[in-house]
Amino acid sequence: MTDTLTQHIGRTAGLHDAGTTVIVLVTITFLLAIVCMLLIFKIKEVDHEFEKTRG
Amino acid sequence: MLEWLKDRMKLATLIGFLSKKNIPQHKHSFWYLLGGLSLFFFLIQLITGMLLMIYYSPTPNTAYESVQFIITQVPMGWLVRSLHSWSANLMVFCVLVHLFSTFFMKAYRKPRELMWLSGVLLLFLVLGFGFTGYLLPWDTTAYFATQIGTEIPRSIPVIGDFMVTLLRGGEFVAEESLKRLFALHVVILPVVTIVIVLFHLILNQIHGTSIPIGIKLKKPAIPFYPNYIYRDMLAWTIGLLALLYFALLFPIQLGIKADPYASAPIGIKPEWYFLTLYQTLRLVPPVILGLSSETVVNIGVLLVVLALLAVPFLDRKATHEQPSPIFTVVGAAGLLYMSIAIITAYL
Repeated sequence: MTDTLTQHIGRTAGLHDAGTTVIVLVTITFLLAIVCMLLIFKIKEVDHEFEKTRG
Repeated sequence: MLEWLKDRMKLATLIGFLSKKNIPQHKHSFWYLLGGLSLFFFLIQLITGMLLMIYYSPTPNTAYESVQFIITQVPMGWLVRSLHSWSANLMVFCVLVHLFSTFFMKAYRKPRELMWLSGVLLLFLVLGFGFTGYLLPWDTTAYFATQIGTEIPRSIPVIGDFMVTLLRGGEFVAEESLKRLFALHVVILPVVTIVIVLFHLILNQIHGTSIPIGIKLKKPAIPFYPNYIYRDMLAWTIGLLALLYFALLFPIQLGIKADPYASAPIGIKPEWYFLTLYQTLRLVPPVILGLSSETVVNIGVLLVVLALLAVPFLDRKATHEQPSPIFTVVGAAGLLYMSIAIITAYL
């Protein structure tokens, strides 16, 4: 059994359906943008703590 | 659970060790991220490579079919193959940028000579991954590009023929060549690379991060753990996003199965990171001082490699914390030549 994304593949590799490509790209961009934002908040937090400990 | 792990693995000692290393903050700090990013793409290479190995079969009769099976039948197989190939390209790019930024910041100067040497060695290992992995799909381009590529060392005086036979396992690219390049690609190169990466990282931990000559620090250096590791993770997330975009928008295709008895297709070009060598071979006249163009280029490459390895020992001014503009100009000329060679090869 092949998965839905692999079923889109014909003779060559890749997603042939433009709609699926857009949905997948938007989803991963959204998810990774959230991860980036969380990391930026974390950087600011640890930098602030570092500044505080230095006095 | 976390406390149990911390206790059993003595994580406090490791965290203490990592916190001791400080990362200087200045206007060129961004370039430090490229080393971590290279490591990230190498880890993706290892994971996707292991997944591909489950289905790949390294014989001329089955290699092409197994890759075809991976991209058409294995769930997400096409994506894993695309991620493997694109992360290889991004890894070479990051290693090259890391090497050039290290060169321009003169981070090779005392006491980091061994870090530079191991870094240069890692660049050649990474290029070795690209070369040995190229034949594995056994399609027409892969076959003939490897046939041409493995012919280049032949003109090296004394050891040329031996090196070609060593790579091919015979006179032509055939079953033995595929087995040898496969063994190099999946066992020998990864093991050697992991050992040298560890050596490189340990040295980095011991000596810390270099500050470019003449830079006055306005901000205090931050600890590697936890402050810098989050910056590294941010760079890795952005790198992952770029990789997914490349893999999804430009998936790696499979050509027609290789026919060793057919004639080589016209206009075969190597991967972009070998285009400087390819263009140089095309530029050099067929015979110079009685030597063939291949011999001249091979000697030239050998001299460039030796010069690259000797940089920390040749640049005496940088050793004494003085600017060395000659080395900067030579490095910039090298970068410009590489860029022009790559761009013109695609025109």
